[in-house]
Amino acid sequence: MSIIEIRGVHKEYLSGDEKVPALRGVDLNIERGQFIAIAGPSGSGKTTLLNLLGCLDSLDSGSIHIDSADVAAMDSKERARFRREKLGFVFQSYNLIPVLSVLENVAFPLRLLDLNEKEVKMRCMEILAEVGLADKAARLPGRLSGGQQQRVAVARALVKRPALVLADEPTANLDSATGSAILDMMKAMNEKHGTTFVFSTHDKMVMDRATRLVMLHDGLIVSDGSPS
Amino acid sequence: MNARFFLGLAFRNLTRHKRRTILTATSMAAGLAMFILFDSLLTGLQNDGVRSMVWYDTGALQVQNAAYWDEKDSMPLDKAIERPDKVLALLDSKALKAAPRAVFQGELVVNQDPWPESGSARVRVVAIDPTRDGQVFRLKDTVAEGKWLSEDSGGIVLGYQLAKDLGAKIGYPLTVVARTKDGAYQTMDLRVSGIVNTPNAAVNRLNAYISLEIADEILYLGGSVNQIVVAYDEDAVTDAFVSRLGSDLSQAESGLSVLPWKTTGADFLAFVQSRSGLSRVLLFIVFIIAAVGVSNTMLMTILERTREMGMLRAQGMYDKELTASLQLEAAAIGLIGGVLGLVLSLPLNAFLVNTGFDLSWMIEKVGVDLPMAGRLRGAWHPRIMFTAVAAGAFLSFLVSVVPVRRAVKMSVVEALRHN
Repeated sequence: MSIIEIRGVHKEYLSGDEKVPALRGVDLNIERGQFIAIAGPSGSGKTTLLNLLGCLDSLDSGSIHIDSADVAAMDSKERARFRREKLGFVFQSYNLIPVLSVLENVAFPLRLLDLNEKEVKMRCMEILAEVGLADKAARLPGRLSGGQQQRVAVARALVKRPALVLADEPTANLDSATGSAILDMMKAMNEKHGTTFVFSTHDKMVMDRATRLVMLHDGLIVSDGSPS
Repeated sequence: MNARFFLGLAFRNLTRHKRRTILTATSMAAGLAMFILFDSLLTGLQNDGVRSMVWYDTGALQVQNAAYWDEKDSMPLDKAIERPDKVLALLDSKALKAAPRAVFQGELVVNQDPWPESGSARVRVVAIDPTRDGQVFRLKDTVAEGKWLSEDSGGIVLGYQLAKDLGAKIGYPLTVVARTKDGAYQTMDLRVSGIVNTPNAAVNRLNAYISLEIADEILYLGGSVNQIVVAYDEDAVTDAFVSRLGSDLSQAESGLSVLPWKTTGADFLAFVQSRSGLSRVLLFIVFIIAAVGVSNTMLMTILERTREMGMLRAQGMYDKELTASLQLEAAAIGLIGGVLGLVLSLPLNAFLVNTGFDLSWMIEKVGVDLPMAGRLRGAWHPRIMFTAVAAGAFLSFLVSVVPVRRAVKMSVVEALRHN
């Protein structure tokens, strides 16, 4: 069953007075529980596609359905609500809030959902245990290594049990051993919770671990299949 | 949204750049403390001034001939209350304590031994009924030398500064030259029987007191006076009460008017009011400092945290929530500055209230004709203190509106890409 259905998506950006096409009619179906990498050279449109999937940007034409919701028809507030309830994000540079502890950072998406304090704490400790950071719950992010910070970011993305996690170059700031460990962890989460992961990446290691690899070039899908 | 969490986050965000937060809050605190102290001195000046004006000079209410007020500076004896006994009886029947006074310009002439030198001084002579006057004014309690007047006293009581300027001592003879009710010159030979030192500089410098009985006889007043002063709680004097009393008194004598202390002491109140203008200017300057400091801090904050704000919005935080969170942060700076200013001002204000500044040397040298005490003290003014703190926080909140709105206007994608 598809969690994402993309049909004829076009997106252009203005560069000065000139219109630059970023996506030129993309069609794509992503099944629930997939671990999929979108790759391609710089300017191929992979980040644009990820932004559209993350409801962070609006498309020019075509349609995107996520979990049966027509996200192209949503206004900005509806898109924010959708992100709040359904999506998780992992960023290249972690983007943790430095004045909040690990636990508080992970709890942030749950605060937006207005869950009660007991449930917030329980869910956070559960997910921190899964990413191996339960003993560091009270620490500030500045006192963690890059790999540990990215684990916190993954925990933050997963704590609300989203339908879809979007990860933009999640290993770009990490050495290969740490990057590999993070990918293992995300793969384990994917298998355990059935959460769909979509990566935008340049990293061969990410492409190799994905169960499906979509290659973009000049705003078009040029290949789609198993990484092997 | 979890309001407690976001409030906590706003305060914690202030710790990211402690030095910047402290500098902004401290500049606000210093300004607010200055404002609070300045206001304290003004309030103290007004409270003490009104008290010493009412207790030693004007009284809370004055009954006058309606024509007197326009010529009050020349203190005419012919614009008089012709039947003060009837007015006093009516006031007595209302259980209001009242004292008749004949107030006129006089020349004190000293030209014989033992005065150190001959000369004269223009003074305001206040002829009083010592018994009734004591029920309305507190002059009797301020006798520094000699004694207060009695009914048949042939003495004159001088204000402290006046006595000092003349070199007067108890028992010294002097002559008062004044016009009678008809306008003819008349003299009164009296002896200094007392010296009063009141907290009212104008009284100390300008006033001399004699018995109304003597003034009536020598100035041919025929029982008339130009003031009847009524004791009343100054805070309870209302326009309605004044108007009602005026209408009641018309039964005793027509053509009278009742003036509250706010009218008879208008010069002093105008003086305080002009100082209040200064206080407002000071408050404006404080607010400008706060506005510049806080808006600058918020601009830096927003610039540094653009990507983080992109992340918060990507997680699903509404623009309205982000705006509130950032404005809360700005208000928190204002609140910290305000509370710091309040805390800083408390011990300083306690000093002003309990000790104050001794201004007697200035009053003596400059010759201030205001109902000021020799010591300028502050006063506690909780409403203004808390209003200043709240206004500081609110202003901080307000000046953050534009930079925060600009930050929220940026698209999430753009914010996430920001370096």
